[in-house]
Amino acid sequence: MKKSILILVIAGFLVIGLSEIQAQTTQPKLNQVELMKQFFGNWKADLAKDTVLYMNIEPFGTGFTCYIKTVAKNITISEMKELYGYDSKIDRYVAASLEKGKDIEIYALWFKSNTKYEGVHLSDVSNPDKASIKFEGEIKSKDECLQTILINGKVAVIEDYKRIK
Amino acid sequence: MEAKQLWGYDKKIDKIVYVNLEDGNITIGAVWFISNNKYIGIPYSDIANPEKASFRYEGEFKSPNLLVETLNKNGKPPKTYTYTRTK
Repeated sequence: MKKSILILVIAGFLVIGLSEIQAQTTQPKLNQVELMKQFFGNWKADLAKDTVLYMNIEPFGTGFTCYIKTVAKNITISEMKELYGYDSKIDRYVAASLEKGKDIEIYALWFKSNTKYEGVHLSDVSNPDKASIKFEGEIKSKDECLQTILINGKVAVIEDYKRIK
Repeated sequence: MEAKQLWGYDKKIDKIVYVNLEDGNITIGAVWFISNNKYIGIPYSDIANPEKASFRYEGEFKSPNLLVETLNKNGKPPKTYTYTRTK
């Protein structure tokens, strides 16, 4: 009798312990559509002396459009259009990115916390840590976003976006 | 209904790739010409095996101002769409 009570007590502790561990590790699912709204608006990033990147992001349904222009000494040196949409099957945003004169590229982008996001080519979405190109970003405030582009795991570019009117 | 699309050439597969954003759904497709006025389109995910694509559309430019496109979806009767250029 005593032995069976002891087993019950141990089992009870195990169940309580397991549920506590689960509570610590299970995070609520992030609302990717809501989090992406932090990007809406106009942004600029100083890429180098006299070289500025301008970005305009406008909502469209659950997605958004993005127009990017890089200006060096008052001359536009590159232009890019992007279209982003939420894909519920993978709980990530899918984006097509087309820079003038270059091939189209398809990316996946997602928030991994309320302020941090990452992105890779869609073909690498099932194994993002092995992606040759990876974006890692952090919304520092509602007016600042810091994005790092990694190539083969090494930092290639750091872009500091500031919100503009 | 409103949709936005972005189309661009991908030389790795020698096809046009597009993204379609419509009613909260995003889909990716691939399109390529098989002659000067005929083209084929399939879902991007079926690019490695186009013969087994879940749907396929075939288009033909009958003239610079007239385009006829037929959508074939597995198990459904084909649907034909006629587009005329507007000013």
